[in-house]
Amino acid sequence: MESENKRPIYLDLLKIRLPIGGVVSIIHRASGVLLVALLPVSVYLLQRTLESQAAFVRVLAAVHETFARSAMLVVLWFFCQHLFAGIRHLLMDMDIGTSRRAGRAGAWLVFAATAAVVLYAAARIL
Amino acid sequence: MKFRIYRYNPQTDAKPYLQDFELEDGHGAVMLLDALLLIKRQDDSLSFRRSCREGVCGSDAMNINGRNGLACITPLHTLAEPVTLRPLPGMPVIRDLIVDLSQFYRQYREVRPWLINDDPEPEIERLQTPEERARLDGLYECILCACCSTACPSFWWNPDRFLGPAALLQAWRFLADSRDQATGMRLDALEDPYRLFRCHTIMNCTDVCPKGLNPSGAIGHIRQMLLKRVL
Amino acid sequence: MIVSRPAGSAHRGLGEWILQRLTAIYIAGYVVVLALHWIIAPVADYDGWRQWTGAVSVRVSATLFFVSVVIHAWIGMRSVYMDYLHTLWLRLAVVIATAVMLAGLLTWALAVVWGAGA
Repeated sequence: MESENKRPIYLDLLKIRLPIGGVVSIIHRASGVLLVALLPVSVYLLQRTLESQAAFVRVLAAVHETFARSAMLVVLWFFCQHLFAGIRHLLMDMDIGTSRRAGRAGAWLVFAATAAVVLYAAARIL
Repeated sequence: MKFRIYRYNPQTDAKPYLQDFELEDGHGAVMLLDALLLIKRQDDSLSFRRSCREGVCGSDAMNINGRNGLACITPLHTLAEPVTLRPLPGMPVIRDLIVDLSQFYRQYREVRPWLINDDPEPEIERLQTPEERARLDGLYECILCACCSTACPSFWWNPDRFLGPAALLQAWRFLADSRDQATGMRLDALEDPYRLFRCHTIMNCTDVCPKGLNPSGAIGHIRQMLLKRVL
Repeated sequence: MIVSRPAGSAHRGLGEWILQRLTAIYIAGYVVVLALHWIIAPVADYDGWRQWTGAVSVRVSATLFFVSVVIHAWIGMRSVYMDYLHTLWLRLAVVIATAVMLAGLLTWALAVVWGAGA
């Protein structure tokens, strides 16, 4: 019975093909963790804008810089990816889009909707 | 046609490795299983499970070019070369393409996959309306090949605590059965952070099922049932 | 042989699942409404910003938002740990660290939302 413990397990995540729904799922998770990590930043910025006239002006000025705006687009991307994947989850909880085909279509839609919002925002603020 | 096959013999190999094989065209192999049987003639130490060779027994599930499927119903012409064959992911490998499915079967047993009904047995059968019977379509066809559960990340990380899509599809099969009387007990047993709720609706299971079943949808139905009983 | 001694069901899981969805709906609705509000009526100046953030309705909805975010993050992060962290002491340490961080964050956010009187 010794050999049972030494049995190899095949689990090479780079070689196992992840269906599109799985890609949406892992990005949903990763973007969620990143958004949690960014929470203190948003509370800090809110605090600064309420502190004083000078701090408010400084935050607004910083937000107009290209670097800050690019960073905001990245955060917007995380957020939209998480939001749209979440909406897909809620719809599937209500039995909408649960078949194999609809599940795949929904996954692609999450990417399409995210891209649309991020590109629109980029066109507006860059 | 070129093949790369995962090899591991516990008696001689310290580690698994990939071995290349080549089949000359025109051998008449149509399905992947035909090709595997021809390759086994070249090297009879190659081990894999197979039985019915028509997608009913569920023995020859393996990871084919990165995707779980049944060799016997996978047409060769759909596969890119080299056709890379590996064992089902996340399960202990006994030898070559044969994995130890004990954990998978244990989780299956955990959902009590049989009809529970305390009424005296009728002389002929327990009747169902055609509609009640129709609710079991898409559930009873499962052949327990393990393609879905071994494609499920939640099952990879917690194979001992998360029941996995195959077992949960069968849990729903009996929850949906009008003749079953153990609904409450079955739901109680599934109300757990791991057993059911490790499912994040990734849908790899539904994507990969060689019988076209929808375990992910079945899990959704169980959640709705759990939800309804607390509302 | 792996000896199997099933621990049975913990009889919970559904509650968190429901909370995760309820908080998600509030967060999504709040952010979308806020974004639309700012697109239609951009923040003009500091005084306008102070006045707007001082309104009780804004403070209450923001409080609900931060409470929802913290609950949503808590359930989500624990779910991540349940999948990937299998060393018990490590998981416990990370869970406690997350709880402390999120509790601190909520306290801070609420102090900002309600503090410094308008």
